[in-house]
Amino acid sequence: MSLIVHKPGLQSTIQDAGREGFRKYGVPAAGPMDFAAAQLSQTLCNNYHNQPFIELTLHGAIFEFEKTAVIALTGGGATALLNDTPLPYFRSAVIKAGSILKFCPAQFGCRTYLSVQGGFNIPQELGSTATYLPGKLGGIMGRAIKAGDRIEFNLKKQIEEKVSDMEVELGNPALFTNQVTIRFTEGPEWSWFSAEEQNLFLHTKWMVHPQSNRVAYLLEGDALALTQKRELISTAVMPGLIQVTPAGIPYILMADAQTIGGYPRLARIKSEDRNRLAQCRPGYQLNFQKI
Amino acid sequence: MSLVRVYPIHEKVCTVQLEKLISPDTFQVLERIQQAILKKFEKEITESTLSYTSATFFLQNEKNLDEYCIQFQQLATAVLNNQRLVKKNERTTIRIPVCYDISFAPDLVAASDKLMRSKEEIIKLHMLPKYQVYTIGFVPGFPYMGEVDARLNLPRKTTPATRVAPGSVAIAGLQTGIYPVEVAGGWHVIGRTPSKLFDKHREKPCLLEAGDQVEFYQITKEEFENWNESDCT
Repeated sequence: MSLIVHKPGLQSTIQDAGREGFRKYGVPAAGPMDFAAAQLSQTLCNNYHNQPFIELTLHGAIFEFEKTAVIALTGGGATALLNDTPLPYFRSAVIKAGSILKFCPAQFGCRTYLSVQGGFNIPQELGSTATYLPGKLGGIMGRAIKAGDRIEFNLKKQIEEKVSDMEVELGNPALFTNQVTIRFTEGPEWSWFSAEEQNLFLHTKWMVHPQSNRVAYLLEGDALALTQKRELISTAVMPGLIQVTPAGIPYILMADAQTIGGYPRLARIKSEDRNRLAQCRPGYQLNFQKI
Repeated sequence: MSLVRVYPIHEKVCTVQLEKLISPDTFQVLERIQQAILKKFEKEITESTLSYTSATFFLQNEKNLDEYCIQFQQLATAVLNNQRLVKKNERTTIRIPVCYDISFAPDLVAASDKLMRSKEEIIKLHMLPKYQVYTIGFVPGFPYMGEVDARLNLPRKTTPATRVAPGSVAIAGLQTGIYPVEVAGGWHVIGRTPSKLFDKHREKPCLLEAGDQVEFYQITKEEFENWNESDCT
């Protein structure tokens, strides 16, 4: 009883709540980029948060359901067509066997979460099914979903046809505008930057660079210069930290970021605003607000 | 200036940073601080990592992170003040086979030119020290080890190689490391090991961890090709 992948879209991966306990071996948590949206799709399917689901990037994916299932879509970046009829996000729906689910372009957002009631049937690796692409871990043989994959899901004995009828909103600004404010606190090396550089960071309208991905978001704008040429001894880094490269380019660490880094950490993003970033696509404008 | 600084890197994560130079002695102190903190806050800490001069702790509860920072600072300071009373941690040494054959060492000739030393000399100098593993990172299982003999000090490549083969043993600056998977990398590859650095199917997936001591020994190309992991000590 599978979901058949006709087209995978730009990048689709299996995720769950993430992998804990292996950072000392250099394995980060991975997991969804937009935690709030992912949790909501699970809730709408009556799943546990840690059951496997699919994270899709923008549009292009085409899936077929071999068997009737209850699913929920959340997040953004695409509009869904179920057998050529629009299927709304943020509510659960019964999908009949043989249905084709297609993801078409949308104006805003970047990542869609697809949960199926009962969860996808994926073996755990190091305690999690989350795909960590740089380490070739989790998901389907450590890689992104590709055409021809058949992803089994766990059917409940009886489909809960009477699924919750609630429609919910996330209040994520990146789902309806391309200018997004990201709140942050000072990073451990904030004081390594001069007041001038700090101001430049605060007042620049940064653009999300096309090379941004699950590892990091690169920011395009005026380069930040480090006044003191100090070297940081490699130390722990986490999703949500903003590092500045020697070329002065800030990049924001995301779900698949490595566990250690050697660039000064200018800022630390408010955790919930990582959900906003997850829904920002290349070309979005970001401004940073200190809290 | 205080010798120890504690700061958050996330709502639930904080780092204890020693304001000291990288050295095996500093690392020993760091390990002692980590042990002291883990002992006292066993139930509240889910994960902890070490890297050169810092220890990082992942906490269950995001409440009172400031309070944790204060208490970690106190414990770290106490350990720093009691150094003379504690015996050095004894560590087993892990021996890792390396084949320095030119077919496994794409950067050995260039390194030989830049360092103005023969290939044999580079190999000898690379095998000479007992290395300390200071952290694991970059990709799963990649050990950062030091200190490489100063005569082998080469800056990282300006343009990283797009593909470095798994098992590649490389040097950069005063560090040496091993690439567990195929990945782009900017270090100079001077050999390859048949040992598996990271295997997700193993009970202990990672061959090395921060704090381990490592010695390299040379094997021939033939030995490399017939290597059986189970023969490994």
